Amino acid sequence: MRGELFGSPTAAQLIEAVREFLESLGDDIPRDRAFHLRVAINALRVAERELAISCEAEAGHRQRMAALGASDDTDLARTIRAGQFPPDRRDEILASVLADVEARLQANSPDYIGRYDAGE
Amino acid sequence: MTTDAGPESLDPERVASILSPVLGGAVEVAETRRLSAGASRLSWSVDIRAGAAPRRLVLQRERGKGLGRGKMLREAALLRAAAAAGVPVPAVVAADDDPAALGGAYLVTERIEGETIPRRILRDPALARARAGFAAQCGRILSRIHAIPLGCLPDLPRPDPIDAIAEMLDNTGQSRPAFEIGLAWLREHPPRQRPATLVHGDFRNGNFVVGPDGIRAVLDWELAYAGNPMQDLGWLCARPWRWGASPPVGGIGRIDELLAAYSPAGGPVSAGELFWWKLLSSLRWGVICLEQARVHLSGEQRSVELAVLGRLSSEMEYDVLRMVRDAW
Repeated sequence: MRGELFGSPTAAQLIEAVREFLESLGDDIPRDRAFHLRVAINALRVAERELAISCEAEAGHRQRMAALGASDDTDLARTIRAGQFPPDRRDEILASVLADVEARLQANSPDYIGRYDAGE
Repeated sequence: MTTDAGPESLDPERVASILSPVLGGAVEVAETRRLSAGASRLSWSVDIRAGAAPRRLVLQRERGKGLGRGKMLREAALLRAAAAAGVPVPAVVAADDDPAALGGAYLVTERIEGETIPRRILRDPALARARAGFAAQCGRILSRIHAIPLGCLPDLPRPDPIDAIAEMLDNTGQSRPAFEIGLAWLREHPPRQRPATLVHGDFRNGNFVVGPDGIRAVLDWELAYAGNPMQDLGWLCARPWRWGASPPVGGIGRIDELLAAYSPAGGPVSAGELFWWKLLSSLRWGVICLEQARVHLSGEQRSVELAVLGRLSSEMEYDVLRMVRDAW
């Protein structure tokens, strides 16, 4: 939930404004910079999507960590590296980590799962 | 001509001065043009006149820091050995690991004309014939690379492929349970051992120069090492190097075409073996993405491209988990 201290435009709206400005540059950018301009626009899209979903996504992540009895990703990663997870909970762990990754992809690469399932 | 000696510029007079002794006579640098700025290297196309003859070259220069540095003489030796073995590579013109002359270790090769941009290689109608023979040609080239006697090569690292990934991941300081699950699966299901060979290390659509006649050159030997040759096959077929296209070999060809043209020491390649190396490849690329983000975040090289790669790493987390889920 966003507070009112900073008011409007919000951080998300500022990022959106910068992205729209970068998109308007189009052909004004020399060719050798055009690739990095596209990358920069994509970076802002990632940030915008993250801000739009972050509260809900972080809550889901915390619930999944609690269900596994892990305090955070570092704790979980260390446990898996050490081989300390009981084999009978393997599917549960994989499903939980996959749910985290799917949440991350909603911001980082929202059409990736569809492309994966299409065999691309 | 500029004599600006900034870290990302190239001084044509210095280029002429390193090429003159190699080419035996006065060298005039007609034009230099920046080609790319990778995490570890900058590269330029360099057009020169040496005596009466115009020559088209590529000059790569290392940055101070990053993956694969201080290895230009080694790469030159690998390119010469590969050429002698019938692997299509650009001819070496000059190389030096001493940063004094150009501000970084450098490698100068002939410039081979053709397409290097993966999505154009996937789609350009003029390259249809090259695509028809692509997978088989990759198989033949890999057979030649993997048959080069290690004794004919400079000293190469012999990393354990799983440990190398785990160390790179640890060095990023990031915790990725998805990658830990992938590492655990790989360790629990060791692949068939094969005699160690030269491994190119980055053999994929994106490091080839392609013309209508097919692959004209295999580039970027900086990650080469000695190890299980299957890594080159898994990497070639890994999802990120299909560039969004379905065909499993580089987004272009079929596995059976690749394997029919590839004859490894130690017997034919099984589907399960290739799966193991494809999974390792997705994991490796995902961790390299995190490493590239670390290079940006640490200030070694500030770049929005490297920063975004850190986020694209989650695509490989997804690949790894889906592959493990299918295999467990």
